[in-house]
Amino acid sequence: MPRVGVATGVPMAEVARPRDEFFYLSQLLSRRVVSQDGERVGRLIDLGCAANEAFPRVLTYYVRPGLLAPVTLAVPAPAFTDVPSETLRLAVPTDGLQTSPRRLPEEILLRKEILDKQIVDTDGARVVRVNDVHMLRTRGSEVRVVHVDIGFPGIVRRLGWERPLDRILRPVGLRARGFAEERLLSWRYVVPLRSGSLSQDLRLNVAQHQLAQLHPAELAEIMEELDRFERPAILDALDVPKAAQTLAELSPELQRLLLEALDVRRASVLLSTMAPDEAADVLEELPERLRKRLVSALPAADAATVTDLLSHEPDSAGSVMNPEVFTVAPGTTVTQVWEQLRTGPDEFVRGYSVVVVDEQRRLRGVVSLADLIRADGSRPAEQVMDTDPVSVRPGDPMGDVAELFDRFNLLSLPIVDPDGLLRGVITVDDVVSWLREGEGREGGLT
Amino acid sequence: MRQWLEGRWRRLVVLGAIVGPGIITANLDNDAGGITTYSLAGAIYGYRLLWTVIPVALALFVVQEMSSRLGVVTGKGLADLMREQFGVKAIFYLMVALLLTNWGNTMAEFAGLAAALEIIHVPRLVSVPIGAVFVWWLVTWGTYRAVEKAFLMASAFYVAYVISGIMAKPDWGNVLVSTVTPSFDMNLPFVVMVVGIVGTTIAPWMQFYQQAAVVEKGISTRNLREARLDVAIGSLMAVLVVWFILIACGATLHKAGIPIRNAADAAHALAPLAGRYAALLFGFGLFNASLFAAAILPLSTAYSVCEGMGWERGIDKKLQEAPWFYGIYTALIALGAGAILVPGVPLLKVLYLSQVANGILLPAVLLFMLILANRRDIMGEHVNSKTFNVVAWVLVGSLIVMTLFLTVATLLGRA
Repeated sequence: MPRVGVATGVPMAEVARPRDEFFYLSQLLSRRVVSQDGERVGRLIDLGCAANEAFPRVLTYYVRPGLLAPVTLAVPAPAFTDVPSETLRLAVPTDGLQTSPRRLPEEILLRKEILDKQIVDTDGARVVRVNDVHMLRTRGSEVRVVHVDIGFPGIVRRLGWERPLDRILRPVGLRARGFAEERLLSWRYVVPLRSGSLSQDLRLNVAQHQLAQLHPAELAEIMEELDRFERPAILDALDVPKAAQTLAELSPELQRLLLEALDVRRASVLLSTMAPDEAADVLEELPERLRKRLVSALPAADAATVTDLLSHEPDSAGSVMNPEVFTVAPGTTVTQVWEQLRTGPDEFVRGYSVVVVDEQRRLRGVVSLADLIRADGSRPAEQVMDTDPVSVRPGDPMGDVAELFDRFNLLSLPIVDPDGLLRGVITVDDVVSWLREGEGREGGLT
Repeated sequence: MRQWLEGRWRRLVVLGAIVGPGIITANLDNDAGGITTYSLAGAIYGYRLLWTVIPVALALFVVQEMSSRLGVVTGKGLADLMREQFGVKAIFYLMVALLLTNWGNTMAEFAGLAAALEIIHVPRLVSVPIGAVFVWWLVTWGTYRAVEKAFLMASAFYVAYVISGIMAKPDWGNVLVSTVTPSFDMNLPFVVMVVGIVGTTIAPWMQFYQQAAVVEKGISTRNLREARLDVAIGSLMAVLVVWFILIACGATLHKAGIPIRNAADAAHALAPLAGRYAALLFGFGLFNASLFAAAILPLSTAYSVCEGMGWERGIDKKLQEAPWFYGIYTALIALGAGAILVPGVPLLKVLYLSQVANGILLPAVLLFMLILANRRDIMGEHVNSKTFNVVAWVLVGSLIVMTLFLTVATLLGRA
């Protein structure tokens, strides 16, 4: 398990003194709030923080006057100079309190939206539950969120067992805290999932920046942990290419759930951003009605390609291949090919080889990227290509294709129809995915 | 007409996709403990307790419908929702109670398994370890879908009790009259029996299990009606089994005045009265129910506890990724099965502890559920309706009174 951080906090007993800087949200909540003259005002129920800051500053303290009181009082920071003391004494006159607080647009509520909730930990690329929030009071009496506590000691502290345990363990020279490592996660790596009231833009802004660090496969794993409402929220926070890749990585079941929930236009944008074979993979697993609806929403050209792919037998080469292939004419010089590879889209290079076709798109040969790098720049492609490459038909079973990859140590392989026309390529990653899916099928009980 | 047919057909297809959680949960509910209680009730009181199936069905539906709806609307499991809304303290102590209760329940399942196989002369020293390993293997190595299918199929085996009931050749007129005529005695054993029937039918783990299954399936609010129907069918199936067990034992054991101590006794005693096959079927039903519940109970418990505490969970996780999950799951099976085998383990004390934990747990869970299902900020337009609330509060209120009664009776050593 990744080490998230070690507490810099001080033991409980000392925290109560006002001079200390670090403390936990749970130590502050439910504290009694009194006016300047020491009169009872209520109890602290929540803290509103500036979500747009790297380490959110407390903007508002929310106080409930009585247990069943219907109103909440809002006290703008800095309301208290002595946080986190046993009793919180207001630094402002009581008549300065707002009785019907309006939340600031950038405010995130620590108790309602963070404490005990799940968040995405972008450092560990997983979903974790917040046991407590670690806070800091700076000398200027600003209070900020610095960490969230995701470790076992956090639970023990909130259950109120830390002190009793210490009392029992002290005679034997042990401390409750020593048994499990405190795990604090820096706020920089936290993406809140329950921030319903933040303005849409701000929420996306915060999430987008941090989620961008994660690989689509990691994002897909995180999505598996989330609920029906959180998943689309994460997908919305990603830019289109990343969202498309993430969608492609998800399990068929989640793909179905998400595509059902997304509106058709957004779904079609995501699907047409994927490589056609990936899109076909996704669509293949969907219930027929949903699949038809989505295919008909795709741009005409994409729809045709995908429909063609879907028409192949499952587990045939045609159903796995990518029909978008980087091809060159036999007379193209190596230098020209280099140029096209350098300036072309990423997918060109990902194919591991360049396919040479004539005007009718008949397969003439294949040049591997390795041969291209070594070749003399002035020579035409037809002189450096392998003129008799291994190829398969769209209807060939994938089992045979996988065997060919193994036997000839292939990285990619062209698919050719009976007339010799190029239909697509299969790359080694397609084969690996196909094999892994098969493993899943066989691994089950059925 | 065609359109109407198509509409019907579509509804049926949708239902097919939704069906599962409610039916599995309700059937799971007739576990070893349940079958024992119903057999005893039938053998001791004959048809006199048949009327209880109607209120029990209603209560089962109301409680399970709420948990299904909570799952559909929030997309969260019950433990997750409680942790978020009521905080870590509430959930921690609830989970401790759940662990204790379900340890006792798991033990009861393995005891049921042992008893069922002893009918065909398999000693428990063989059956229990094999059962435990099988259950552990099934869940850790099978995929969830396959496991679910296996269990849905297992639900069908409950028909064994229906057949046993019919083979017992009951007086159907008498049975029907007794079903709609409540009869009650104000003596302690009778009350304890009634409470026992209700208590074994509505168990706290069911709400956690069903809500998790609903969430796992990703049922959306559009399909709330189908989800409700799923729960209704499940509740009916569950009480139908109860009804037939009461009939089978009432028509034979009660009439002949044969005293029994447990469900396996019932199976034995049925042979001369209802035929050898009825007895075997009865035993098979017990075997199936015990195995089914022995697999699901520890799994559901481990899942709920990890969900509430925020630990990694799920059978698709590796052992290193989810140590708590597999730890709790394995420990429950090992301790549940082990307690049956190791001589000198105070079985009764554990069951007693489990019953007391249940007595604290069930009221708390039901109250929390009612609060959640009435919160507009969580449920939106799907909060409990007024009529539903009246029925729910009355039923939950009586369930709580009964559970507390049983707990006190247990504490006083009378149950």
